[in-house]
Amino acid sequence: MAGGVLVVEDDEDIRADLAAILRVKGFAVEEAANGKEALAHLRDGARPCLIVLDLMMPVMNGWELRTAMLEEAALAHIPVVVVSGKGRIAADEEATLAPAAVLVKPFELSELLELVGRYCPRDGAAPAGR
Amino acid sequence: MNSPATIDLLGRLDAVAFAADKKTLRITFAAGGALGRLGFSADEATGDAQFLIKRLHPDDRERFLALLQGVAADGKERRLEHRMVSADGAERWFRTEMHVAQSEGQVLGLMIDLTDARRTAEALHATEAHLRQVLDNAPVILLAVDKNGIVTLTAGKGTRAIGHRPGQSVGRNIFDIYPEETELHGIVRRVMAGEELTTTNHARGAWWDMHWTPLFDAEGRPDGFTAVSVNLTDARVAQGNLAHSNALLRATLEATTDGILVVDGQGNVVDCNARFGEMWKVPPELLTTRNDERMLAFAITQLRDPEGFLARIDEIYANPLSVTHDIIEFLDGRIFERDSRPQLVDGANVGRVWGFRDVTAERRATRRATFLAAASKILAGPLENVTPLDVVARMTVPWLCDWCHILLVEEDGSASSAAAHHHDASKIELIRRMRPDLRKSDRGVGRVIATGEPSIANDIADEMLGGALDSVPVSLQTRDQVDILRSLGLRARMLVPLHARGQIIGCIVFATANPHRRYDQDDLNVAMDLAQRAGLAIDNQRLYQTSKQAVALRDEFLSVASHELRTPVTSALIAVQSALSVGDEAPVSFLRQALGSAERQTRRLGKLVDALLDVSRIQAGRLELQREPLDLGALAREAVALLAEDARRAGCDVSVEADEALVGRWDRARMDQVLSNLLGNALKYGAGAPIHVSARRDGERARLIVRDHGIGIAESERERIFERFERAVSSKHYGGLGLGLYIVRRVVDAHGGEIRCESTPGAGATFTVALPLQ
Repeated sequence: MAGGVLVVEDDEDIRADLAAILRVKGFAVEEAANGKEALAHLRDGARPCLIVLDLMMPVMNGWELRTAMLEEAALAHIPVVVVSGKGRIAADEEATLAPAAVLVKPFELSELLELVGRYCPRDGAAPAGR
Repeated sequence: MNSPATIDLLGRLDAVAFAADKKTLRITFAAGGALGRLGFSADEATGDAQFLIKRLHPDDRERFLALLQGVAADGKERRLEHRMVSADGAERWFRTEMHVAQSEGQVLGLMIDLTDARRTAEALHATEAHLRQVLDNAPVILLAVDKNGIVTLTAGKGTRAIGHRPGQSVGRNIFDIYPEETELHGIVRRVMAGEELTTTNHARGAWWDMHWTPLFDAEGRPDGFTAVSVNLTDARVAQGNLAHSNALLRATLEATTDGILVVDGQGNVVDCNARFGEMWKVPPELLTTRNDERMLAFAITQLRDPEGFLARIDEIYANPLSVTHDIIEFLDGRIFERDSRPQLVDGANVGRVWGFRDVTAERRATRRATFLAAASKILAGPLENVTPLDVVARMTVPWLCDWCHILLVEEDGSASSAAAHHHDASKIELIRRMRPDLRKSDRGVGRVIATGEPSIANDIADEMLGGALDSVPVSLQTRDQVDILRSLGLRARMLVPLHARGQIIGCIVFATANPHRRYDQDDLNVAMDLAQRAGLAIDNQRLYQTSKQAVALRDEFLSVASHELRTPVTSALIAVQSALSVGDEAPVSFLRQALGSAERQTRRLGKLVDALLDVSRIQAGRLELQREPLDLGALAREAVALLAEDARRAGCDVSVEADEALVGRWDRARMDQVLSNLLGNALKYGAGAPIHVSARRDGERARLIVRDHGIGIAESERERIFERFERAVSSKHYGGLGLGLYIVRRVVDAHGGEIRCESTPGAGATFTVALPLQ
């Protein structure tokens, strides 16, 4: 089943704000506070169109989730936008993470919206604003 | 008178008899054997009695005739010595006596030929003069003294040398001549009694050897003496010079710090100085034998290479004129320089002089300096795959010891083997099994660790390591270990403390199985120096590690700080951009959510900046407290209330238990910081589980406890988490600057309190802060 955008982020404010604006922009959004929650969700059969993944999280961090995903054929192909809080990530790290794109905090909201728009359909339910 | 019998009789006399007329003074008769000596026959004399006058020496004729005239005139007897000229022109001496014959009015004369007697006398005189000359030129003083003590003869060159004029002393009493010679009376008495003496005395600036010889008369009675004085001054000077030279040689021999040995051509010991005996430790009784072979046999037992030593001696003796210089090494570590050269007397080789110089100190100093320089260089340089202690253990074998063992004090007070080396690699494992019992602080390694005092033990006998464990002078733990020590053949050892980080961290054991090796202060100095350098190297290595860790920590911090700052900025930016990106129709709830995020994240940013500033203040020692009466219980309740929203988000139920009026003098803002940091950590690491806060009085102190049920902290991390930039968990999982607990501890310290952490990993952590109420 093709799902919406999965936002995996431990910072509650960022997660809530991103979810709110994406919904306002017409995307379906699911949320996870850490890698463990996200992986459980995926293993339950969720197939998001895009995962917005923060790297540094408690319990299970972004690297661990990505490693687990890449080891499972059913999950490996899901596009992931990595959000780095530590500036640009190193080339070898990027090769391991195999992301669709990398956003470095603080990023422009418009960049994220453009990426989400590239991978995910708008459900058109309530496109607020423009 | 003219009778033939008379003439014949007169002819037998060695004389001429003559008669002259008293009035005319004419010779009337002459006869006698002496005429023949004058070359006349008796007939000639009878024929012309006047010939006697003719034969008078022209110089003596007038005196002769005057005498004749005088005798004829007054009839008194006169005599005269005069010369006659013989027929062959030779002069002869005669003594002529004349007197008047009472009956015949004639002057009678008798001429006695003195020539031969005179010649004999002259010869005698010449001999005496010669003798006199000889005596006078002899380097002696000759005195002849009669039985009355009167000097009858003086002779000899010495007489002039002492200022006597010839003959000055003759006729004087010997005691008057030498009034200052007090011993003279005794000597004269003895020699006068017939004793022959030899004496030596110093007089008038010279040394005299005096030979006193008694003289005896025909009946054998003492009759004076002779004294011959020989001037010994030159001999004495020569002898003195020789003695002086000998004394100088002896003093030089004994004054030098070198050992000197003189051996003759046959290899026998001719001479040696005391230093030689000391250096070679030759017993005095052996030294006095002067037996080269026995002394050599004794000497070589002390040498590292006795065969080489003997071979070298053979080589030197095979080249008698060689001048040699070489080095001798002793088993006890001493080093001698040996020099030898032939002893030549007037070009002939009569033996060999050997010189031995103990250069142990110089050699060792040089070797020590070289060694320490090398050690410093190695220890100061980068050490790849080895510790400074490995370097020390390897470097010291074999020149300082046969084996080196470095022991470190562990946290539990036991000793561990940090490095070991032995010149026989198969023994290293044995050495590593040595484990001193550091509780035995009265002996061995235990004592060095306890006191910091180094120690030396020499001449260790196997028996000393026998017996019960408690009786041996080492602090090893088991009898087996002591037995290993015995099997290694321990004979001497040095123990030096190893200092690092300003305390004793261990002990270095330097040991030898060489029974001749005795450690001394010099060795100990090297060992201490080395230990010091090793300690510095350990410190340096540790500082290097620490600084490397500090750099890594800083990099980690910068990375974390960057993340920590980016997160709220990102959050605020998203919130603001979200609000801006939606149209006027956006629901109020959406805007409220966005602005709420923006506010919280901006405050979070502010707290981060505060924390960084606090760290900067604490580092600069500018953490100033503004104490005021403060109720810790009330403060705890306020802090929990302020974090209610965060607690809700973290899914934590926070309970508070506080005594009423728990008032002390504390800094409100700082104590608030302590509470919010501890609570923040509890929420962060204990999310989803209840948190308990208590503030209670405990005697003179207030006790604040924050307990969570989160991931907990491993024991090894519990001290570290209070350090700057430290965290017990990976920064990949948890955010935060790693400054919270650091600031908490510093604030608590500043209040004179203390903080501790208890935890069961996986079950939560409890932070307890104790603060003095006053």
